[in-house]
Amino acid sequence: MAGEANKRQKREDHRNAVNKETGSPQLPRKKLYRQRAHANPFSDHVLDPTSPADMDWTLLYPAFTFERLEPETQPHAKGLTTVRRMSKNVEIADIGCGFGGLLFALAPRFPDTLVLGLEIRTSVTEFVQEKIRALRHQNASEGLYQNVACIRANTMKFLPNFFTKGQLSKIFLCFPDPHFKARKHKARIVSITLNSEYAYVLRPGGIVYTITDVEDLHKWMVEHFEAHPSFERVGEAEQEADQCVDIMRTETEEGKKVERNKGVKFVALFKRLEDPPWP
Amino acid sequence: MEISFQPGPKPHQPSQITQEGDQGNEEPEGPPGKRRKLDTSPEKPPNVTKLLVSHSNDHVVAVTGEDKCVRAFAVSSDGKLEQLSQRCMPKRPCAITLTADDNTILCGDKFGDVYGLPLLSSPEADAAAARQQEEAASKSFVPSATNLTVHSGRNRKALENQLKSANQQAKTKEPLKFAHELLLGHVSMLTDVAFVAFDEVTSLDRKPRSYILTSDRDEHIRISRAPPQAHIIEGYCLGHKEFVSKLCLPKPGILVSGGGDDEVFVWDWRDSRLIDKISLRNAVFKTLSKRPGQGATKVAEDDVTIAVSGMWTFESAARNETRVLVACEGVPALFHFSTLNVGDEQHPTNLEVLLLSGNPLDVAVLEDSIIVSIDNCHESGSISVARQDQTTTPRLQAFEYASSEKDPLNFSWRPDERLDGYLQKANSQPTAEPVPDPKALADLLYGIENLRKRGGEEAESS
Repeated sequence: MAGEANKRQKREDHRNAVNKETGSPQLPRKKLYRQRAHANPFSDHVLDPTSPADMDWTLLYPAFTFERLEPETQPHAKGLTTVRRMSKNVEIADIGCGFGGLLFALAPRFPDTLVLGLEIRTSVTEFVQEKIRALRHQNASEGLYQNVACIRANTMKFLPNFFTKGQLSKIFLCFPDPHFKARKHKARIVSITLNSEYAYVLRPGGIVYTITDVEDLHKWMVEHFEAHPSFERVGEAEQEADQCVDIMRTETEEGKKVERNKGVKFVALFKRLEDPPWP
Repeated sequence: MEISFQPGPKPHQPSQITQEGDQGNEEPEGPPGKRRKLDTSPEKPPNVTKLLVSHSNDHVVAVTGEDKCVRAFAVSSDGKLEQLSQRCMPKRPCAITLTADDNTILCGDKFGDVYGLPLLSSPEADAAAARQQEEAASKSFVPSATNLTVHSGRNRKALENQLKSANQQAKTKEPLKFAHELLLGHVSMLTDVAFVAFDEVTSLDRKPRSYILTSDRDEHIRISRAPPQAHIIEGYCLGHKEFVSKLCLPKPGILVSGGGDDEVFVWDWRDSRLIDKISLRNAVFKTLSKRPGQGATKVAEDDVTIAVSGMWTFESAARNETRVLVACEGVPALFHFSTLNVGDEQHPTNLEVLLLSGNPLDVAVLEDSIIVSIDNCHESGSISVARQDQTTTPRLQAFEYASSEKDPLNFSWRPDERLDGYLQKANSQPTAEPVPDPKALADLLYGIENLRKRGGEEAESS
């Protein structure tokens, strides 16, 4: 098919141009990174890291690193070596960040907090990464967008590989795949069993933000979070006072699309409670 | 097939397993075109895939694979088994254990979920559960999508069709008609479940605490609190690069985990801290290259893959130490080490080998000896080649861990003649009739290596 080959060629040319190290990085074009909206969360992904300790965040957030002398880790080594360390840890995670609309809105509002987007689709992840590179370059004088990064990940399987217990203060689940069919419900990003993992990476008082245009999925998410003893739903007054809710409604790519189609957006926030004492 | 030793009749006579469970086999939820593994001959009794004896030795829990049934048996004083209940799970159970008080069966399934089932089911609780399930199922069907959420013409049409066939879709799942509780779940296939209870000693007092440890195909070991707080995850032991298939707790604070990696990992699991790694690779390679009749087909070291299929704890009173026994799929030996010096860099743990006459399938631990069930259908060291000397190879072999009189410090495993009388009866039984299909038999006995991920996923469309 000539059209297909042509399209692929265009994508490649574009990416090569964007990826070029010389000169100033340019903003990537979304249409050349499109990918079908669904991915199978159960398929075998060979993705790093093995554990949070193995994750090298310094490459993702170079502006939030410092160097220090530490003893060498090799056995019997006595010398000191220079190691690059993070001055901060990631605290906000956007799970299924898509083309990154929320990330780019959050980054300037929380300049001192590290924001991470996690996306399962390779091309889409690449788009966000290129956009971050370009935005960092364009805003180099103000030092903006240094606190945002994006990685490819299957969070349904590997969330604890990235974050330690209680590391996060906010998790966003924006317009997740609704998986309409009943036999696909296990693939939904919210389930009573998976909520235990969100509770694990969230600190007490941390918040899970959910938004969707599918009422049934909204009800499902509310039902499953409310049934989980580690979460309670945030009241409406507190919800509307949260600046992130507004950003989530207006800045996400899907949020904009629903706006254009005159759809309804359902929002629900859930607070991570303290663990009860042992029985 | 796992075999647990009981003096007297073998605990899992196929004839004792009734057939009623097969009804649970029909799953109405799948779409019609989807290919599913269904047993083609429903009159064949299902195979026992897991077997467990309660701490009190009064009960036996068995899982039959084809019908996904969890069966509880009472053990009578003359060693006979009487089936008390059979409960068919929504997905095939692949790991079971009992809580320390023997009240609850913890059952992990292929879907990654762990359910708690009372060992002894009460009719009242089951009826209540059935009622509750039916109420939930009888809710009228409402399609999840609306005209606001679907935008393309084709999707609108699909929605219309969904509305039309709403009534047929209403029943998607056969409700479970017995008391059960979903305790926790992984997104990947669950491989093992362990329950630990011990006293946490603080400066002030002792507090009894219990945990559930679970492992999955995606390299995770999860530490959760025991019910009623099973929703709280205390930590993870992360470090495996391949699937984790077995968990073993030789001491309350020590966890040994094994799977598709070359090493078994030793953890201080309460701190999620890796203490030691013990490599099996060399020992496995040596065992495979020196098995008898090997001559022509030499094993290349690179071709050796390790899939841990079983781990057991053995307390040696004579030597005052705890040993962990490890079996690898298709390797005719048991590998064992002492937990005395794990993590001590000055005294690296020494892995020892007990060579067997065939592939070990399961081990039962007695006071100072072990009974190993040997695969007498397949060639030693192979999971596919049929064995020539099936009738002369004993299925069960006993070993005792003892020192010789000449050298009282030198302990080793030697055949245990004291148990020959018991074993003879089992070993003289003829092979089951009809002879099972070789492929089906191999699948039943050797499924661990299949957990390994095959590459090529990265080729997905972009």
